[in-house]
Amino acid sequence: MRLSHVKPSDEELRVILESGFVLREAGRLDDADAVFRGALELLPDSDVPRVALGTVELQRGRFTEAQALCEEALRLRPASLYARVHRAESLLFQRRRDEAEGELREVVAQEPDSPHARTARALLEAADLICAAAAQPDAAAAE
Amino acid sequence: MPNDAIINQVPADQSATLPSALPPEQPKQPGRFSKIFGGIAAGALNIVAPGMGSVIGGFINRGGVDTTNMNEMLRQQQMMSMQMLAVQNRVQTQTQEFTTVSNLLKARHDGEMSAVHNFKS
Repeated sequence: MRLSHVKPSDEELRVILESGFVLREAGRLDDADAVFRGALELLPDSDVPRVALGTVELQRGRFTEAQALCEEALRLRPASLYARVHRAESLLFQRRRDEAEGELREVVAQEPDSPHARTARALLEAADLICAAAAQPDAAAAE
Repeated sequence: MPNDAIINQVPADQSATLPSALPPEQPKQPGRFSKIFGGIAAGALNIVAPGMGSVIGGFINRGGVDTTNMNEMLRQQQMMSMQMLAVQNRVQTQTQEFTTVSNLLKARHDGEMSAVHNFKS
């Protein structure tokens, strides 16, 4: 049976995506990666599985790969605040702080009450910590 | 006083070694009240001025001043106060960092759930 023959419902797709996030939070990054790649096959036009894969790359410390995945999602959906926030996060981890903060402020200005704007504000507050963590030798080695 | 040979045969300088009906004399000890009051005062003052309480409490306990010990104690208390302040600073910084990270994780989770629920829009 080919994956293209599988037609999951929206609710099933949500469950698949959520299980990917659960696996990521549990530190099972390879499993989360596999789930999100499967979701990407099922939702080729959606930004969500791509950005989700990007967050797995962030957890692995592969910040440029995370950035590339978020930019791919932005090419598909230029208005995706979700992709913009996580692209900015990957920039923060690369210590490209000015670019990241500019992007995050734009997200906050665009839709101040959206959950992505709240993430953007939280990232702005945590910018010092993230940049300090990124400056650690082990983080640099992971990159 | 009768000049009795039996009574007077003990020289005066040996009288100190004779057994006495009185209880043996001990060095002056602080009273119970001083001990209790000193303890309470030390605890109370430590809250107001860390370090000073123990010094003043010790002073009341002993019922006198020993300047050498007091200076040493003051120095130690000052050092301990500085260490305490440093620890308080570190705890405060760590609490702030914990709150920042906790806020970030919650906001990210909410954002992801929102993206999952609106993945088609």
